[in-house]
Amino acid sequence: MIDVQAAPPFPEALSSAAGWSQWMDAVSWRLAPYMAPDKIATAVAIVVFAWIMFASQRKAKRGVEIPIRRLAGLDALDEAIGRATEMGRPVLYVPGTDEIKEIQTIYSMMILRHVARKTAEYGTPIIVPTKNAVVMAFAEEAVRQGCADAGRPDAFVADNIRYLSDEQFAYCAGIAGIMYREKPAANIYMGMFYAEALILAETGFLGGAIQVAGTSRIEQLPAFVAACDYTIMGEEYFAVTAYLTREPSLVGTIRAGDVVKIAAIALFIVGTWLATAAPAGATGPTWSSVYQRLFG
Amino acid sequence: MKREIPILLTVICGLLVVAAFFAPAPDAARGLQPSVWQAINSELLVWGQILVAVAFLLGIANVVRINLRQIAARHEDRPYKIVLLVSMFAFLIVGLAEMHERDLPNWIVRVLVPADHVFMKDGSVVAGWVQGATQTGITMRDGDGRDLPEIPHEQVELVSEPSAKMWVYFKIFAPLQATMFSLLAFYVASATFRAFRARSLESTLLLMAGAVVMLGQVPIGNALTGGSAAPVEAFLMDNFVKAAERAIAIGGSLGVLATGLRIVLGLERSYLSE
Repeated sequence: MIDVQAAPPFPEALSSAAGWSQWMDAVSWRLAPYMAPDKIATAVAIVVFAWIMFASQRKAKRGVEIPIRRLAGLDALDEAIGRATEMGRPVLYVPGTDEIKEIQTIYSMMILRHVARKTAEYGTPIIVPTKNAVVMAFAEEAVRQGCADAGRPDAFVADNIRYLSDEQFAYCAGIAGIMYREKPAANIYMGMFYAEALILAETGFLGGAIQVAGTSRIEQLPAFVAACDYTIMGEEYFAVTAYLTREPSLVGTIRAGDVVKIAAIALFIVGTWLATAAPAGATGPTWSSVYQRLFG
Repeated sequence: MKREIPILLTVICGLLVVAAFFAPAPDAARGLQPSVWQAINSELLVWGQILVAVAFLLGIANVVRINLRQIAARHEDRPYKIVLLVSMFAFLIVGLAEMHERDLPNWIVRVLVPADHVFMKDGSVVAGWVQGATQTGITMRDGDGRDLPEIPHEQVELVSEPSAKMWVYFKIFAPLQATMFSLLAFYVASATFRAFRARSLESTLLLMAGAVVMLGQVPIGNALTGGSAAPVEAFLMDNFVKAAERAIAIGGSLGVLATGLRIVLGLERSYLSE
């Protein structure tokens, strides 16, 4: 049991930085049996974000139009599938190299469903090589559902959802083989990528395919930007389904992200000002240290 | 119900994992025990590993089904498909034989598992299959499954336990992986060449920034510019590049948070079939 006597007392007033610091110590101590003190700010931030998200969704569902700026990379998805259809060649969809527990891979499955719907509408085969057996099972369902969404369940070809290998470069070599042998006219890379990103994108470029890539992994973005025709980066990646479907609840999520970004900018400005104004060589709590403890 | 039950399970598991994330760490000094949420989280992780193992069988079934069908249809890539399936099953059989060496009939062990060799200090060599080590020595069996006399540790110079599985991995698979990875160097050069063509103001700026960063990264480049490339490179990387990276990272993180929340709360259902 926690020693209640040892609990730090609440301050008498919250008019100084020291008072606020003492108040945070007291709250952290009392919440410690129920929640990790260093995660309290994270929990509060998530609750606030969720509230903004639900409010934005309600607003969007009421019919208030929430504009989304034009994203060339997403418009290019239809163009790529159309081109493959004209050329009578398949579309290759690579869902990244991470496991299904990675949120980018889950999101890739949502995008895959939309792409599969389009390919089914156009009667174009879609090939989905996967690096993980669980991802393969999800990809099968996404493509099956996409074909059903298009009213063409017969367009689903189970043999086109392929498990290649759990090893990174064996998977990479397998995809390169598909590019050389089956000559897809459109390569779509959506998900989490590592060192194989540039190998895949350059192989696809050499094959003459139109290429659209999407990831929020910063390290691989330059590779895709250099080798692909269109790149969806960072937050744009998580806006794909909202942009393509215009479903109010999804569009509301995009707006929530924007509201939080504005709030984050305001917090940055205040934090920078407090850090700049903090007295040099201060030994006790300052407003800057309190602020850093709250939002840092 | 086919759709509601998976969503309900997702919500329950998601909330349990979130609860475990926020639960306090055990702290003996303050009398905090490991929380029930963390125990549940550990259990869920074990369940996840079991599911992944089962799904791996699905993956093997997928590989076999697709390739066998193409072999049967006399596809032009048939030789590659045969090599793939033979390699996969050969590796699987050899790996399983090595793992379960003690439970297999002796003739299978003789065929599939390479013999171990114990090199003695007197220069002699004892061949057989090592079964384990006791406090006093090494126990071995011969090819007929008979126990050999225990070899005292003090008489042993070296024990060689060759593994066919590891031989295939290090002598064939690892070099093949390294070959694929080494292609990256050439692809970096070709992609950079295309990206750095000065066709517009933006691409010219990219070319100039890229040139400065490359010069600043290597000692010879820095020496050629009289030491001025490195500080400029550091300025570009620490200010422009880091600022852009952080902007992308913040946007991406918010997207991850929004998608995660939607999935955990059961609002995002498009990844499930209907």
